[in-house]
Amino acid sequence: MRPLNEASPPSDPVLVAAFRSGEDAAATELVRRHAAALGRYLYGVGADPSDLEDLVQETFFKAFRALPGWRGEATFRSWLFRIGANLRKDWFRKDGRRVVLSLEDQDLADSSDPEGEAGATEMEKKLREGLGRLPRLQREVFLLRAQQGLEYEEICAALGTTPGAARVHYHHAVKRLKELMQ
Amino acid sequence: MIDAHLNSERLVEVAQGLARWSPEEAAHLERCAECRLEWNLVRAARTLGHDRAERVDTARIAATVTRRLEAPVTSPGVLSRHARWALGVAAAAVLALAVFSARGGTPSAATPSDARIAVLHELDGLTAAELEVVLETIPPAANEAIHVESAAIGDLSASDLERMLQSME
Repeated sequence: MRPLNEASPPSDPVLVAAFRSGEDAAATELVRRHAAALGRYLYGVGADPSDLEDLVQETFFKAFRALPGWRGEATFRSWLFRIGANLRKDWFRKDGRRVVLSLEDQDLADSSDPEGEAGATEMEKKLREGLGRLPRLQREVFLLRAQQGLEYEEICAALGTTPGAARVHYHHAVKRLKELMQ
Repeated sequence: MIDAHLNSERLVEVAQGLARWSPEEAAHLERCAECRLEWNLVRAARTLGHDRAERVDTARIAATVTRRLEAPVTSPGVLSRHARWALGVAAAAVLALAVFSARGGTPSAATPSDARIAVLHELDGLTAAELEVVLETIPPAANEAIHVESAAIGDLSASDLERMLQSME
């Protein structure tokens, strides 16, 4: 692998290969590169803001542990999103110590962080509430497309669907969100 | 002048900064409430969670993840011999409970509650981490089977029966 401080940054597959050959710096670079996007995505799929850092950390941990299973059909980032979304789902389902609240049921204002929530725009609150009312695939496709800007080919590789189905999910998500936000 | 609504894909492209509105598109957006709503939606999605993600400490995450990766692995594949043996016993006991529940019968050597106690004894020697791995490995369907153990099969609802049958497959 080229040194990480060279002008042209190494691609994700190069970093993954470096990590697999024992370079911890490659893992650090992958975290630095993708953590913020992953955090935004997890927040979008309904993660509690107070869990966000733990979820991001756990997602990377699981991803690095599972790297032998990553064959590069999906980009590293979309693969991370898939692991993160599944983890977020299990996080609520399995941990009995947590209060399980779906976005449909909860007041979206986060009582643990009133100042932060107050800073969120009204549109963002409505959007998050609307996303909580969508079926999972519609929500994830919408976020991967509109929030993350992924192409449909990447989305279908991440979610295990087809580009056509992903487009349909996106269309339905937009239609439903528009209804909810009117 | 554009009469039709703006294309959804075009909205995403512009929101992502990959394209710019043409004068005609900008004019349409100005007067079409439907397109403006979708435009606002896509723009809100683009920035959703931005301030939250900014607070995530990537350096700390990277350090913690690499430290955890260097720690000894605790997974079903590398459990101690004792843990693997206990896992086998636990799985067999859960399966036995499900089968006896389905038949509405009682184990000849032990009642279901005895069997459950026996399972707990087998798990006594495990560390907390090993115990957690064992518990995670038992499928949810098997856990549900335990809940129907005290019900006679005739007392089960159709959905309970369906669930129980699925747990046995």
